[in-house]
Amino acid sequence: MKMKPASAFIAVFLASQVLLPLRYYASDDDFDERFAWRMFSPIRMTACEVEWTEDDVPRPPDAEIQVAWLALMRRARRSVLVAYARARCADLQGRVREPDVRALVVCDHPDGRPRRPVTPIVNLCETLR
Amino acid sequence: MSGREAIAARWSRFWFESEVLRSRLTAFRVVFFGLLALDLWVLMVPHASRHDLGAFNVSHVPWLDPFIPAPDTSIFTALYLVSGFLSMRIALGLATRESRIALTVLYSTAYLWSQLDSYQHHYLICLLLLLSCFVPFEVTPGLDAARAPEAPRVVRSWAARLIYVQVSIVYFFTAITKANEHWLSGWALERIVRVEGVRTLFADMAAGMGWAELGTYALVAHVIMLWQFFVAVAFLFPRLRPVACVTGPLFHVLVEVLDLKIGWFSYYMIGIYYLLLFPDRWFVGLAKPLERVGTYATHLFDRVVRVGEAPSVYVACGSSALCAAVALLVPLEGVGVAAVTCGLATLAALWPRAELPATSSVARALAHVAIAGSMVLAIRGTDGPWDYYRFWAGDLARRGELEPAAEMYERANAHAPPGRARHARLAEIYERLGRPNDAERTRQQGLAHLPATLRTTEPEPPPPTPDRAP
Repeated sequence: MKMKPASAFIAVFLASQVLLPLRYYASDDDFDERFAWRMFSPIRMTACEVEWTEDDVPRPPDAEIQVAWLALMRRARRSVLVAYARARCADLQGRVREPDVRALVVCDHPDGRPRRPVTPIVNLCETLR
Repeated sequence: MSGREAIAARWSRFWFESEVLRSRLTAFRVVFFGLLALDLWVLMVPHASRHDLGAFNVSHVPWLDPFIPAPDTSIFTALYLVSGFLSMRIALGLATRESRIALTVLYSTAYLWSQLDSYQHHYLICLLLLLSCFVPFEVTPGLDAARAPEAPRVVRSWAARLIYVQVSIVYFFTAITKANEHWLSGWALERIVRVEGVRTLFADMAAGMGWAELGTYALVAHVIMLWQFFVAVAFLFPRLRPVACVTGPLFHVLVEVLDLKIGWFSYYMIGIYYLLLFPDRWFVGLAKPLERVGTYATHLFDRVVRVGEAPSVYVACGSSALCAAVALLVPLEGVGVAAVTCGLATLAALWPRAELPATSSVARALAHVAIAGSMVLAIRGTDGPWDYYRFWAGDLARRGELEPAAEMYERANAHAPPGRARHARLAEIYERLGRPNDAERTRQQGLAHLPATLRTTEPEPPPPTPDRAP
């Protein structure tokens, strides 16, 4: 039996709409809830603190990027943290021999357990290379 | 019939024999796209200025980032303005097919381009727009097809059925999100509810029943989760819809009462409940008065303009130029691109060709100009320009870019509602720039409105945090 183009579209659309939310549950990243329809999730209620350092010197990004990006960082949005780290490493590349950019993200646990670091404290210029 | 054939037959019946009232499609087109146009002009345009980011941006598809340009304010402003124009055109039934395709591309581009917009309901709108490209809105009455006596009462549409399934998927997964101890204990809900009256009510109720402090929150949290599972099923099974179509709007009214700052999500959902779930008989009953109004409007239309008159190149060119000229009255960046695009879209819809709609080209031309006019009114008639430049100025000042910040504060003040201009803030920036004369001039302007401007030394409120929406 030949499949109608509309049937193929429906099948692909439905598969994507089931798999995209499921991808969240299979991922190790609790904080990126995009495309998962997690309205009012407890994760959304958690608050994080982000501390950036370059060569062990604190360097907050507040004066460089739009304030909404800072809000996304405080929600431990990994893709934003990674993109900012990449941008900083690229900026330092020509000026510093071995750029060292680190981000410490510490978040509240939803149930009040002790705060937990979300990111390993490593030189992102090396790990993202 | 083999098992495989039986499944294929069921699949085919479920999708391709699904019928929907034509009046339901008409109402969906008018309400959903009309609301979307206003949402774009009134709510989204003022936030376009946050895309003045320099080089930093992360799209929703980060692996594409190296290949796509950094967004900027002008482009986003133009995207939102033109999207609103197209959306209103669809609502009125003008060039609906081309407009739906263009709107889907533009709106989805704006959404996917930057994670600054992480509202989940904007993602839902992207999906609904994609599906709407396949819904047969051509059979619904509008300015392109005012009279279609041969049009059927019901039409078959697999895309309309897919919209029901999509909304069901949304509710299913959001209910799953709540099936955990943090939600069911009332902890998360307690943090969401910030309206004092509601908190007092919940506390009094818990005390009255002898429950623990979070008792009422836990009860409501359980009810919400179970209700969302129920609604997920109701979107698929018509028999459950009368319950869902009454409880759904109530739930979203409650969300508004709780003041959750989620844009117009509740209004979209209330509309969707009415448009998709109201049983046919109720729906037709409610639509009847509107149909009568439509009939009178059609008669009036017939008297005023000659239906089916020959389309004219002059009408097409003149109205597209007028449309662009009207759009230029929007006092925002990127308006030139938006005006030219709106003009070209008008020209494409009105250009004489063999298969042009039967309705009057004059009426269609006037409607295009009216849409451009409504765009100007929607933006100039609200605090849109004030918010647009104020948010922009505040962000530039925070980043130490004082020259452009001063320019944006000047523009913001030119559009400020009475008593809310940021004269003191602007004077402070001029001082820091070493421009005492401008600082003094600005202070004098502020003194002219002194009683109301006492609060202008307050720091700029941060722009809304993305992704607060469900």
